[in-house]
Amino acid sequence: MTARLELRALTYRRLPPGSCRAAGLDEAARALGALIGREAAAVASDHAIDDYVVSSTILSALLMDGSPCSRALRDELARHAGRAVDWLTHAYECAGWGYVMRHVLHKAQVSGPRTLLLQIVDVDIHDFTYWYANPQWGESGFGISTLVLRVEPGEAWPLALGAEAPASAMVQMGRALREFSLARRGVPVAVPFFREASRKLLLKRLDGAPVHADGYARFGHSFGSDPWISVLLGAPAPGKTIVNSLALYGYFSIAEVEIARGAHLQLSADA
Amino acid sequence: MPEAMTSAMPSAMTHRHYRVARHAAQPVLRPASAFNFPLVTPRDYAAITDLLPVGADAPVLLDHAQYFEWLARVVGELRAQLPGARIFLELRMPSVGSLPEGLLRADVLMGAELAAEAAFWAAHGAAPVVWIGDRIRRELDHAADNTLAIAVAPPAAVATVEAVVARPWPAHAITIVSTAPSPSPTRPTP
Repeated sequence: MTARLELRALTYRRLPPGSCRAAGLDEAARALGALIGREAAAVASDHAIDDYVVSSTILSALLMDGSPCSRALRDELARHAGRAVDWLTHAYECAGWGYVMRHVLHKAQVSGPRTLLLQIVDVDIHDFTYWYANPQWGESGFGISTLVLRVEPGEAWPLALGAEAPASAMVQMGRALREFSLARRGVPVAVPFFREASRKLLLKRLDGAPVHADGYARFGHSFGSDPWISVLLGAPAPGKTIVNSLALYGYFSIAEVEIARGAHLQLSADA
Repeated sequence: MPEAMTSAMPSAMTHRHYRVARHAAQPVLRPASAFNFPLVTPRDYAAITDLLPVGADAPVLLDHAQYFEWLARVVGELRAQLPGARIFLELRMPSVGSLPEGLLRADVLMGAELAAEAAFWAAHGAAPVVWIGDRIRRELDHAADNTLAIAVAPPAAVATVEAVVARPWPAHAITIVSTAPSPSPTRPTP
């Protein structure tokens, strides 16, 4: 039997740069915690959550190191979400969501099916200019993706993770994505938001597979949220879809998820 | 100003505490390094001052690259000594470069607040579980004190993990020595 990743809810809230910036770091952490928690509560209240994880590329290290600032985030997040987050990571950057899925698939193998609440949070409480744009990825976008996934165990996993040297990662990931897509002909693919030249390079390898909308012009590169925004842009129907992210340091994630009937899908923009 | 960091440790596992010290018997030459976060505007410079700890005086014994090289060696040795082990690394980013491949494999989970994940595997899995939470100071903007804690299950695996971790690491010019828990390095697991 093949493992399944069933998407029961998917929302994205775009935020303007500098959201949550405050006079004090603890205050900024609390503001961000409230924002993340509210996004979680809006979709998770209908589900019995087994695992609650936050993944990020650009969250401040101070929000994930056990410091008073990180506790302020956790406490406020729990107050608004109605449940504490189990763990957080930014070790895997934009590809983090795939590594979270890998871990929860492992857990599902020993415990049976699990319901995962996963949030991809890319908001910089320090509001450093560095994150606004970068020659490597272009213009940036900030926001919070919230996913509820039913994770059903099985022998073959609909997940491909990789780590390549950054200089060749785009090409190597293109190969892996092509292979993944060819094994699932007709399933639409959502790729990260990069500038046109990078996108073309990636799509050229897909051999005519249907592709979800490009949101770069409207959203910018929104770190690990890109493919999820791309899925939402197309008012998706229930069924299978392939999602893909690439990290600056060469890690990548490719997964096949199945959008459930009646899934809660919403794209919101505060900016 | 950031204060001292504390991490919850996994319950129902054996805990040990260490101090990381300079091991200068054999000098190790490394190029000087500093990670400077790109600062552009006056506001960026103001923001970075929020991150600088006051009063932190632990020496930087491993920079970011050296730290991850060392951690990958620890993980590699644990993997060799305890086949099938699951390893949880409570670590602070950034990595400032691609992480060693050995840290990205499926038997390793890297992140924050991983105590409950480690405890899950200690309760459900047959294989050993190792949780490592360090406060190794890698950069001056990091208010760490060069201490290290581990949690291990089952108890029979503790000696093996201690033998891997708590020893001189001459190639990295550090040594890791056992210590009693300092007054507040951890808080009780909720």
